[in-house]
Amino acid sequence: MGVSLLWAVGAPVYATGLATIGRALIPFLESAPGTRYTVEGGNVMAHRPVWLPKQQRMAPLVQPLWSASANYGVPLLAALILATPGWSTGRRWRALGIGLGLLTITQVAFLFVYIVATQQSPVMSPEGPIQLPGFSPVKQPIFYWLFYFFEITGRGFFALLVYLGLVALTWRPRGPAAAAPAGRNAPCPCGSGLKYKRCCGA
Amino acid sequence: MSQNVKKSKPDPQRDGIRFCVLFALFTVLIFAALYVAEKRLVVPLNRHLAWMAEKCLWLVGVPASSTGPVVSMASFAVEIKNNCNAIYEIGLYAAAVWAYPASVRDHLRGTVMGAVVLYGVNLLRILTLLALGLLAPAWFGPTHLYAWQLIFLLVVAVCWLGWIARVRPGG
Repeated sequence: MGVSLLWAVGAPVYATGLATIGRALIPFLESAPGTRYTVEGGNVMAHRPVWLPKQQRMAPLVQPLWSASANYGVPLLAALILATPGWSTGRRWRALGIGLGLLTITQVAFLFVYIVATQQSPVMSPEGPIQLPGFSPVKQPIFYWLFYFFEITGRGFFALLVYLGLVALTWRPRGPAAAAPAGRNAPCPCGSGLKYKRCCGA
Repeated sequence: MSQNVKKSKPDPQRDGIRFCVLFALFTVLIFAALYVAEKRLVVPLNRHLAWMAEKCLWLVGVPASSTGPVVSMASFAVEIKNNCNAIYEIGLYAAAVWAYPASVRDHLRGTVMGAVVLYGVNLLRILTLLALGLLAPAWFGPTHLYAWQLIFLLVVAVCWLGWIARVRPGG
């Protein structure tokens, strides 16, 4: 609950960071000249000028790219790390830093896919459906699939991948493998590289 | 002899990286399979869940009917869509189970038990959303889109943690 509230407050800052990255990607990914990205609350929006052939003029088209309220991976991961039993405070903070860093990379990938995918589908205009300049018959099925994957499975998958990966990396086998070494200052038998007293013996 | 002992020594980092790679690979494969089998598997499951929700509502004395993937009550109806049927979450859970080193028997047992739990939790999700839609419609959207999505993934994580607590090496 506390993490969700923190996310509600911090999401616009996070969205601003993603929009900044998005702006940097414009020359490589964006095909509509004059496009700009803005942050509205926790949402990153693309403002794409589109050409209306019947009216012979450009019209602004606003398309949502990334929404903090729909991308609950960050609060989910933070809640899972904070609730994991048996982790020391230091390990928890390290996991939080590494986990959120990795998850942010996936959110940038999310934005990358959305920037391209939103150019691959026809959009509604006063003149009916029109195709954006970035449309490519090769990219269309690939990015449609990626869009569908990110939309349906991706949101939870990346948070779970990072969290379950962290658990699998730090999982300490019980029994003889985790038995105490000769001294508390000796390397931990679990293979973490830490002293026994700072790891399994803590 | 000593070589055998070396080989069996647990290496959490190697196992953890192997787990992450396999989990990602299995997730993509399961998602691709579900994507291809949407009409044969996902859509019939939506209809089945609507039928089950209708029967559960009758059990607690609430008159309801189902037509295809739509469950209807007196003044409220919901359509069970492709990402509301838990199949993708069960796929995620199964990918995590099969990516973790364990015997085939443990994998099968873990997959079946987790799938049953997730199916039950999803039915509960549908029933609570139907009740919310009837009694507090303003709460339906946020609960459906955010609260239940989060809870559901937490259940996936808890099921997996519960399973590896049983099968972990030396456990």
